Formats: sequence, C-alpha cells, structure tokens
Amino acid sequence: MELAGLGLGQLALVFGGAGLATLALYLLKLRRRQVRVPFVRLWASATEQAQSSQLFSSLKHWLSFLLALSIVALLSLALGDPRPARSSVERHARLLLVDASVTMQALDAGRPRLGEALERARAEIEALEPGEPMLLAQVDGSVTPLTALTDDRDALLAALDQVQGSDLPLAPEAALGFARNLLAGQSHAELVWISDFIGLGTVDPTAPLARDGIALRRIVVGGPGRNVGVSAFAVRRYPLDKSRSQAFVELHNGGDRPERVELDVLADERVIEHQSLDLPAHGRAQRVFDALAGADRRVRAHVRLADGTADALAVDDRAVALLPERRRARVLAVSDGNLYLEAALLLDEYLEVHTQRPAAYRPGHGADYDVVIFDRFVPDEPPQLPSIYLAPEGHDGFPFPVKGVLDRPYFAAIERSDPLLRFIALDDVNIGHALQLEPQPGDRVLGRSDSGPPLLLRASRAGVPLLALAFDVRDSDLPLRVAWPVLIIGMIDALAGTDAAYLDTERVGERVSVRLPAGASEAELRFADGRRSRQPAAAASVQVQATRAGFVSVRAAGAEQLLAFNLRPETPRSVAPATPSQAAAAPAAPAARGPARWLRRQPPWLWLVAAVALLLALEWLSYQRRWTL
Amino acid sequence: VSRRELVALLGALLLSAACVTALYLWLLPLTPRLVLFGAIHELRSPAAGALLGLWPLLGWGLLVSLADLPLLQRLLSLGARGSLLAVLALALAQPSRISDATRVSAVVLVDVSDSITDADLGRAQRWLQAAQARAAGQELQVVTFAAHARVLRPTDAGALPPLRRHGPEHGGGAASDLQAALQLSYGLFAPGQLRHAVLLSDGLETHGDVLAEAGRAASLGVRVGTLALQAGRPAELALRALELPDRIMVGRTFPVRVRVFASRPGKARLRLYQDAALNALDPLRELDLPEGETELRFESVVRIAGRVSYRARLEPLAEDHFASNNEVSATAVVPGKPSVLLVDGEPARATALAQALAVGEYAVDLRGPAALPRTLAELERHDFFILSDVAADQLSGAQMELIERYVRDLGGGFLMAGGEHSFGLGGYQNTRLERLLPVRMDSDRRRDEHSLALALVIDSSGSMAGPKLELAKEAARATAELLGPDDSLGVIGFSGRPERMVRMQSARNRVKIESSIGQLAAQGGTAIVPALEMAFQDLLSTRARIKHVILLTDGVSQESGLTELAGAMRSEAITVSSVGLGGDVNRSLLQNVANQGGGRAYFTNDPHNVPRIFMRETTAVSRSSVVEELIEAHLAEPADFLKGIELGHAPLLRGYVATQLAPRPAQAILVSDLGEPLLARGRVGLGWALAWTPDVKARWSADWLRWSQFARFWGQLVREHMRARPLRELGMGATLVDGEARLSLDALDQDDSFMNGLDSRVRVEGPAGFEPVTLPLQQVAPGRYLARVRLPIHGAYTFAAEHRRDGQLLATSRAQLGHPYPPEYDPRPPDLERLTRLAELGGGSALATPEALFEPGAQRLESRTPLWPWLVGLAIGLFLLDLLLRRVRLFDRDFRSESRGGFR
Repeated sequence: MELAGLGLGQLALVFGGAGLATLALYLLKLRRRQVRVPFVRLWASATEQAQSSQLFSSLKHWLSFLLALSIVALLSLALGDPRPARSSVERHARLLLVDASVTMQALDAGRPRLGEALERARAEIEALEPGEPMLLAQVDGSVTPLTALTDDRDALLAALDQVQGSDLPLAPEAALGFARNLLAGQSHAELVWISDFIGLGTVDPTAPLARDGIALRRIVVGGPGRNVGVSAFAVRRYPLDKSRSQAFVELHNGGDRPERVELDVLADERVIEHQSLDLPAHGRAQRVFDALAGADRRVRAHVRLADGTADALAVDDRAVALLPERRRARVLAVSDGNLYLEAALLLDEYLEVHTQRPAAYRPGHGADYDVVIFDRFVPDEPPQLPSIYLAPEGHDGFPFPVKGVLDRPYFAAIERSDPLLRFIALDDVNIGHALQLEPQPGDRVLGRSDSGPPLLLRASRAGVPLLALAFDVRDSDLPLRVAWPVLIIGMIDALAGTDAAYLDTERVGERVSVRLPAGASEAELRFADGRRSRQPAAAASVQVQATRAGFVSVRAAGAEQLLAFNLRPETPRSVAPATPSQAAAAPAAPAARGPARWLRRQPPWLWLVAAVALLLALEWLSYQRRWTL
Repeated sequence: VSRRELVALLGALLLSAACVTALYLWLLPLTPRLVLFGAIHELRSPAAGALLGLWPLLGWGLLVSLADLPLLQRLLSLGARGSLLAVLALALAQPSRISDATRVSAVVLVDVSDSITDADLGRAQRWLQAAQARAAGQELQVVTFAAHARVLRPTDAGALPPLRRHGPEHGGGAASDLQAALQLSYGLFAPGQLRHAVLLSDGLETHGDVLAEAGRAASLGVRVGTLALQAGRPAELALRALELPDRIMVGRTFPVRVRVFASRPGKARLRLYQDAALNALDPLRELDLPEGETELRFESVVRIAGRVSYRARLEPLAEDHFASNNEVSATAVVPGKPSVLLVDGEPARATALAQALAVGEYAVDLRGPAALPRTLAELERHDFFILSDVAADQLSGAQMELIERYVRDLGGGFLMAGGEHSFGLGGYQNTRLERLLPVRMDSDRRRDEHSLALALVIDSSGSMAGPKLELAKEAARATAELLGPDDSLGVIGFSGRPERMVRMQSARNRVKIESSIGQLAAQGGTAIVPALEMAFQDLLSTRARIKHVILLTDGVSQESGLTELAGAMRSEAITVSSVGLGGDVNRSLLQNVANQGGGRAYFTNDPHNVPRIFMRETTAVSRSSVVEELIEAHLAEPADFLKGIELGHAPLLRGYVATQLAPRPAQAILVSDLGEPLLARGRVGLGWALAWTPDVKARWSADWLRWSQFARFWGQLVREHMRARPLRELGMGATLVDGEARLSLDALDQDDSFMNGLDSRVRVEGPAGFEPVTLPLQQVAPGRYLARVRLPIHGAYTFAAEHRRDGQLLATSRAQLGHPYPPEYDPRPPDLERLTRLAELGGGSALATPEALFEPGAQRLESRTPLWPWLVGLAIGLFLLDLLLRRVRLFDRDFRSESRGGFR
C-alpha cells in the first residue's frame, strides 16, 4: 500500500492527537449520580452484584476505549488515502483498440459484432486498476484516439460511446504503428486489441510489438456466417452515343457454400434490371447490363440471398453509382462547308446543330447557342460564347498570334490527363500543314507538335473559354479515324458543360477534392448516414472524405454536386474471424456488473469511512444500552 | 430488553432501512452542483447521502437510552452523532470543488525529418531548453518525428537529451508524418491539466493529414500551436523531372526536357544517359543555374525501336543539401518496324541477309561479336536475334543467360545460323545455348569419318598454378571426351622441361587419360621448344589422317626456333594451334607459331574460356561436324511461314554443320539428304529458338543468296518467330499517389463499345533491386480497369499490360512512371500556410514561444479538488466532541433534577 493523501508523519500526528484526546476522555471518571435508597438491605444484593462485575465493567470500559480508538484510527487512515503500492501491482500502460471496421458491422446470430466488441471493451475499462493509464482508440482505415492516456474510468466509458462503425476495412499497419509510437519505452506496456482480425492478412503484429517491449492481448469477436455482396458497380455512358449507357456489376460470395442470389439495379428506387444468379463459394460473378432503360442520375445495385434470409453483412449488399447528366446542346457551326465536321456532329443526337456561312455571320449571332464552331474562320468580333476554332488564322493576334506554318507536324506530346483526350489516340495522326500558333500566358497546350508549337489547346479570352485545333482537319487523316468525332463531340461537351464522361465511383476513406462554383466560400456536405457538416472552401474547392458508403451531396452557392462512395475493393468478403493461428484469442477481463461494478470502482478510503459510519451507528445503540461505555 | 423495546428496535431498523432505500433511489440519478462561497461544488456519488437514513435508528437509541446523563446532554450527543453521520455521508458522496485548471501539461513535437536543417534543429533545441526553464514543475514532454513519432525520454537527471534525427530502425528521416506525431501526444498529457501541444516543423508533410487531425485535437481539449522551422535553409539543387515526348520516332531527333531546381544561384554539371551510355547527341551540360526552376532541353535520337530509358544525373559544383534528388529517370517505348539484331563473326560478309530483311519490313541492326548486347534491356529492344558464325568463346556466360531469358521470359525469337564458328564448331557443346536450341551438337557422323591424332602441349610452369592449370586440365579432359574412339590423344606438360603426362594413345581410354591429366602440376619455368619437339616426335610415330597440336601457355618466352619448328611440323602434315592465356603472353610469337603451323591462334585473359577454346579447336580441326557437299533441303514438317515458298525450286546448299535434332518439342522443318536438321525450331518459354545449320553467307548458301525467294523465306521465318506484336494498344494511365502507382485503363472497342471481361495483367518493371511483378487489372466499370502497386524503390518504372479474352491476346498497353526520390527531398519552401491553418484550427499560436507554452490563456478545463479529506478531518473532531458529550457530565452536575434521571 502507499498513501496518496496525508503522509505517514502527518497521519501519526492526527492519530496521536485524536488518540490522546480519546484516552483522556476515557481516563476521566464519569461522575455518577448519588441515589438515596430507603432500605440498605433491599439494595445489598445489588451492591454485591456490582462488586462482582467490577472486573467485567473495567474490561468493558477499555474495550469501549479501543473501539473509539479504532474509529479514530480508521478515520485517520482514510485521510492518508491508501492505495495499492506500485511495487505490488504492475501498473500497465494500456492502449485499448476497438476495431470499428466494416466487418464489425456483421451480425453474429442477430447480435451486432461491434456491440460485442464494445461490451468487451467496457469490461476491460471496468477492470482497470486506479492509477493505471489507458488510451482508448478506434481503428478502421486509420486510428482515431478517443481519449488521452488516462486512468479516469468515467472518461474512458464515456469515450466508448463515441466509437462509431465505419465502412472502411481494417488497416492493421496503422494500428500497429500507432501502438508502437505510443507505447514504446513505457514499462508494462500492453496493447489490448478487440477485433475480428479480418484483414490482418500476412501482418504479424506480435514480432514488431515485442521488439518494442509491448505485450499484445487479442480479444477475438465474431463468428462465421453467410455473406454475399456487390464488390464493383458503375454505370457509364457510351463515348459517342451518350444516350445509351451500360452498367457493370461484380458480385461476390464470401461464404463457404454456393449461394443463389437476386440482383436488382434500381434507379430512383425503382427496379430497372433484375437477375437471379448463382455464386460459387468464395467466388465472384460479373454482369453487364446494356442500354439501361429509364436510368436516372442516381443508380443503385442491391443483392440479396434468394432464400429470403439476411446475410451477415448488410453494408456490402448495396452499391451506388452516378450516371452523368445529359442535356441537349445547341451548336452553331460557322463553316464554308466541311463534310467531315457535319458528319461528326450528326453522330450525337443530343446536339442541335445549325450551320452558317462565314459571310453570313454577324456579331451577335449565336447568342442563344451553347457553343459556336468556327471552321477556318475568325470573326472580327468574337462572340461571348464558348467557341471552337478549327485552323484559326485570325487577325490582331486573336485568338492566337500566328507565327508561320508547320510542315508535316505530328502530335509529339499529349496532355493525357485532360478528360478531352482520355479516349482518343492522336499520336499517329498525319497532318499536312498546321498553323504555328503562339499560346498566351494561361493557355493550356493539350497537344504539342514535334517542333514545339501547339496543335490543340485550351484557352480563355475575356472570360470566354475556347478550344482550338491548329490545323484544317481536311488537311490531315484525322477525319478518317474514330478519334475525330470523339474529339469534336468531346470539345463541345467540355465547353457546353454537357460532358457526359464517366464519373468515377469514389472509395470510402479517400479524400476527394470537389471544385465549387465561382464565388462559393463554403459548402454544405450531407453524407450517406445523414450527417451534415459545413466546410470552408480552400482554393475554390473542398475536400470530401466519407466513411460511409452511399451518395454524398455537396451544396454550395445554390448548386448541388453529387458524389458516389462505395466500399473499397480490398474490403474483406468473408465475415469469419481470423483463424486462431492468425489471432490467438485471449480471455477478456472478467466483466463486473451492477453493484459489483460499483463496489469494485470505489477507492479504499471510502471503505474505511463507510466502515466507520456503520461502527458509529452500532456503537451508538450499544452505548445507549450500556453495552459499551 | 423488553418485548416492547424489541418491537421498537425492529421498527427503528425497518424505518432506517426504508429511509436509506428511499434516499438512495432519490439521490442516485442526481449529479448535484451547488454554488457555495462563490465556487461550484459537485457531489460525485450523491447516493451516499442515503446514510442519513440511519438517523431514525439514532433517535430510537435515545428513546431507549440507559445513559446516566441529563436529557439536554443526551440530546446534544444525539445531535453530535447525527452530525457525524451526516459528515461521513457527505464525505462518501465525494464532494469536490470545481475550478478552472491552471496547470499545463505540454507536449512539444519536433520535426527531425531530413527536410529540417541542422540549423533549425539547433533552434528547436534552444527553444526546448527555454521551455524547460519555464516549466517550473509543470509537465513537459518532447516528441520527435519524421516517418514515425517517438517520445524523447529525459535523462535520469531529468535533463532534456539533445534532439537527434531518426535512424533507419525508427523509420528514417525521408518522410514527415505530422498527424502521427499529434496523435501520439494524446497519450502523453497529464490528467486534469490543460493540454498544450506545439509543433516545431517546416509544415511539409508527406504522410497523413495534420489539418484533419486538428479538429480531433480540439475535441480532446488539446490546444495546438506551431512554430515554423524555416531559418537558414541551405542551398539546394534538385532534378524535378525528366520529360520525354509521347511520341518518339526512330531516327528522328527529339527533345528531352529536364527541369532543375536551385534554391539559390549555383553551378552544377548535368549528365544525360540513354540506357547505360551517355546520350550521344547531347551528353553533358555545365550549368550556371539561377534561383528557381530552369528547364533544359537536350537533343537525343533513338536508333532502334523498343524500350529506351533516360537518366539525368546532376553533379553539384556548389553547396547542395540532399544528394537523393540529384537523379531522375524516365522510360519510353519507341514504336517502329520490328527490329532484328544480326550479330555475325564477320559482319561484312553477312550483309546479304541484312539487306534481304531490311528490304522487307524489318529494321536490321548488324553488328560484330564485340557489340553483343550485355544487358537484357538492350536485347529486349529487338524482336528477333540472329547469331551467325560467332564462336562460343566470344560470348560470356552472362550473355548466354541473357539470350535464354530473352527467349524464355520476354518471348523473343533467337536463331543460330551455321558457319565455321557455329554450333559444335564454335564450341557450343554443353553450353546454355545448346540446351536452348532445338539441335544437339554431338553429331554421329564423326564416328565413321577420319581419325585424328591430337597432342595437347600444356604449360605447367609455376605461373600456371591455381585456377589456370585446373581449367587447363578440365579443357584437356573435355577434349578427351569430345574425341571419337578412332582418335588418339597425347598430353605433354612442360615447365623447364617437357613431361609426357599422357602417351599418345586411343581416346577410347578415357578413364586412364583423365587420370593421367590430373597429375599435371605447376612448377618451374617455361621452355616450349622441347615440349613441342616431344609432341612432334609422338605424332610422327602415330598413324592418323589428321595430326594436330594445341599449345597452351601463359608465359613470356623468347625462345628461338619455335616458329621454325612449327614450320617443320607443318611440312610433315602436322598442324599447330596456339592458345595464349593472360596478358603477359608473347602474342606475336604465338601468332607466328599458329601461322607457320597452319593452325589458329587464340588469346584470352579469362582461364574459364580455355575449355571452350580447346573444344572449339578440337571440333574445328577434326572437321567432323562439317558437311561440305551439295545438299538439297527437304521439307520434314510443314510450317506456316513456308506458305508461298517454293522449296522445290530452292537452290542447293553447299554445306552445313552437322547436328542432331533435340528431343520433342523440337521440330525439324528442313532436313538434309541424310536426314540431319537444316532448319529446326522449338518453343522455349514465351519465345522460339531456331537453328539454321547452313550459313547465311556466300560459303554454303551462295546459291540461296541469289534465290528470288531468299528475302521472302527469311522475312516470313522472322515474322512467325519474332516476339509477338500486339493487335491493339489501349491507353493506360499511371499516376503516383503516396508512393503507389495507380494504373487506369479505358478499354474501348472500335465500334464505340466497352471492352468488358478482359483478363488483363500488367507487368511492372523498375529500377535495380525491384523484383518485377505481374498483377491483374481489376474491372471496376464498363471498359474501365484499375490496379495499384506500391513502388518501394525510387527510379523509373514501366508497366506493360496484356489484355486477353478466352486466352487470346487482344491488345496491350504500356505506361511509364517516374518515382525519382522521396517527396521529403522535393525542394519546396516551408508550408507556412499549413502551419498557420493548423494553429487556427488548434486554437494556438502560429508563433509559439516558450513563454506562452505554459500560459493557460483562454483555455478552460474543469479541475476538481476533492473535499472529502476535510470532511473526514471534521468527522474526527465531531467524534471527539461526541465522546466528550458522553464522557463528561456538562449539565446538572449537582444532580438537582433527580426526578429526570435516566434510570428506570
């Protein structure tokens, strides 16, 4: 034992003083009342009995004194706040890691696995000895500390309520790294890890921890179960015919037996495709749905067991995807006649194309169009509309100064990261001649010729975006390639904002940068689990990181952008906990419940005081009945 | 005790129990807070107040009291005991006074990553010392961090140890994880104290997201301040990027752009390498760099299509902090005609085949044996490799291994063409290439041909001691193995004098011969003439159609009469070849001996070549593997590449090197009249190995060179067996994120449809030390495939993907990615904005000072001061008062009120 309150000397002083006072009071002889009796003989026997019990009376007196002294001693000792000495109890510095990763959402015989883990964690906290520090953290795709290193059980228990399941797979390296950083060098360091240990893979946590002198205690929760799910889902419009789209679904079976499943593809909560299929044990199956009828912007895939029972993990039974919006664009083509251009524009039924001769073009024409295409013609007064210039031999340096002519150039460098050039190959396009355009500061060269000048570039003049091709397509073999219609339609989409390019499905846990509309200073984020948050814009964008799969809405300046988050591909498909060889189970601390839990948590001084209170009550009764003096 | 009293006692006990229970249930859910004396007080366990339920019991005690005290004193005693119980109940309720904590527990997080200069580390150390001086008994912990975070433990004396950078055992300094450091601090704060963390860093983080962590820190009550370490940044020169054009054409010059960063003006030298050699057109620049980024343009040209790597290396001529960012590389794939590498022993005589192939669709690279590729990357740039009339001793073992890997792993086509130095004549028996080729070189023809008497004259002087002599013995044994039963062999060792180790005898006695060869020992000087005379005498007395001497020496001899002796032997139809081993031999003398003796002279510095030279010489001198007569090529097995070739009208060949067809799966396509292979092929791994036993020159194929279908024959042969060319190239992108390559492929068919269900695999190759890996590309959307791979080593990586469906190759993709050096070494200025933002979010100052470290500021944290010790002390006092009231008669000391006595 050791004293956390008064020191030994102080206690001796208190006890000595109070003890002496008690002794003094007991040394005083209580002055008794003199009683006159009428007949001495009548009281003679009583006097004789009193003389015979004098010894017992004296003993009772000193026993009463000892009782009083013990009360003083107990109270004095309580002032010392005695606690188990550090030398007699190994004070562990503990890190309690609670796995909140995606597989912890599994139901084991109807009971949430995470709930079981929290119960075990609660038992560990209850078993904490006073003075033993513990840090509570949850681990999923990363480690989230929920408390500081503390022995305050109330704070730890309160923090346990903050553990929230996520859709991220377990990241054992992150957990081990955090444990090593925190506990290395601490005496009696221990990592208590409560998990199903799915996703531990080949990571052996024991050796690296042992090197840092950290003991590992693993508490395995969960059991095997049936699980099917959607491991990949995406919807995509065709590059040319954007009215059509295709959906790709990959299903998996993480269980040990084949399963028959029902797959639904839903748009706007309405089933638009349905299929029954068999999945082999621990197998996968892929399905492609062509020309989705009635596909809305938000599309979902949902799989369920055909026998109507629910599988263990519900979160992977669903996946979401976004289909890019499509709207009709009005295009004005100002050309002397270019069959290749007209033919290419006819390929997209979502384009409403009007043609006009350059001679008939007047400033102000095309005000109600989305895009104007100038084919080998540059107007005197450029329109305040997004424009495409083909071989723009302009004047007064608009849109670009022309420095000469390039003879037989070819695309030597292409900005492949630009969405415009994602599906097309321009490397081997043969070009007769091209204008030597001089880009202006801020212009972005998308395709550069072998000698350096640009062949394709993106620019902005007076705030109006434009794209330019430095050569006449008829002086090249570009129109003979499939790349030509894809390029010109892509240019229109890029300028008209009707780009129906594939929208990537994001992965939970990854940070996605979302560009906000001009002037937006903050964005409101609404996550799939209903959580909302406001985020200030930085560099005209916000960073979005979702831990739950589903749609995330980003609202800013009155506009809404949607993001689709799905589970990560490495998400475990089986819900069976790691085998004993991978994660040797350790017994959890015995769970104290109810009054036992309360009693266990009380410090020793409290017991001393309670004992004194009880003694005082009993002593009061015994005194009043003269059993004690 | 009367029954009435017992009932009363029972009643009092029940009443007390009821009171205790009622009070407990009433008080249990309460967490009362009271303002007393201007301070907030809280009861942690108010349910302990249930103890007051014992008061009825005390009252009953008074009612039945036998104490001989006045009523007033008894009532006072009851009051004292009741108060005592109340005080104890209050103590058990654990009251505490709540006030704002003023003590600060501080954790200082010091960035010791490589981007922090020594000067800044010194500054951080001084800052810490100043903070420690102001700690005044308050908690101060220090964490150092780079890739990992570590707690810096104080010394036993409580002093702060010096800041040190992290060694490899702690993750090294090539990364900065500010978030991990901040997370670690949560475990270090003392309980019940204000939590202050200060980050001393340049704000450049390579892992984690410290800004995201700042919110969590705030929720845990941690105030985060920062201090930018930015003083005295050193001069830094770095290569930022090496950019190649997307499209490189064979033979056309193109620019290679290198971006160089200098934090201050400085001089440097930059070398540009193309593959292993300096870039021929523009190899070196002396740079006088201004501050900032400079783009340099180098001219380069690629002569052969295929994979080409560029590497730029900066040699600073001024101060430079990091060496790791002085090298950058990139790789490109140069499209072009299929490339054929033709290596011939005499390139000038092999032009006919080169021209025939070049007229067709091939880019032919004709070289001599000295220019044989030495790296797989060099060989990989060719689609077909013809090795014509080059002896085995011209290739190192490593080069033979390269050829095998080229065929087996890379799917290249390899053909060995015949000639005086090919197949067995070239010494390829028992080599790696013989195992690769579809023919074996121990032709049965030798047995029924002529006999050979061979004398090996081997230098056994002291200088031959060690591996030289052992390899010479091995060569002699191999020669004995090679000879037929009708051949004869003698071995003469010589030092100061000759010694007949093996008398001239039939090669049939192999065991005896090999045993005798083993007795050859190194000793003495070098005297060649007596030994050669002994061999001369032995051969004169031996009956054989061919008589030959192989002389091996490593010595410097100026003996007179040697060349004359060789001439005399020649006149007796005895030929002499010489082998010079090492750099000290008299080359001209040995060359003269070979010339006069009608043989060949060989020189090598590598003793390991000796066995191969002996075998080659033995095979050559016996001429047993050569068939020199007019031969008609007969079709043995049909092959696709022969379609349209009218073999029946093919001219006759004039000779070939005799071989035997290797076991299946080797196929003989063309055979001689004797059924021996003229053209054979066999699948080896991913590629083909072929043997053309006639030559491709004017000696044995003179009439074929003039044949109208010669070019077509070779063109079709090469096309069928060269490395497979993909049908289509699908665009694959590669980006680098957190040391991981992310590959994305968009597979679109010609008809605007998505290519789904592809079996796509990508092979990742990287710099030296990176073990190539092949991994699948997973389909994630219609026509979209993704893969990720960690790049553990810095350098240039290439990604080659093959896309199959039902096992059939449909398309390929290629991508390159540079991972030049860790982001930690990227010469960026300190990220002050991040540090400022972190301080904003963390509620601290961006200019943290040691003085402010322990100032509570506006931060509030409730501190609880327990009051129970005071109450326990009070209880002791009350108990003594209680005792006094019971032990000392305070009232009615004269017993005047007798009638109110306690006795009943």
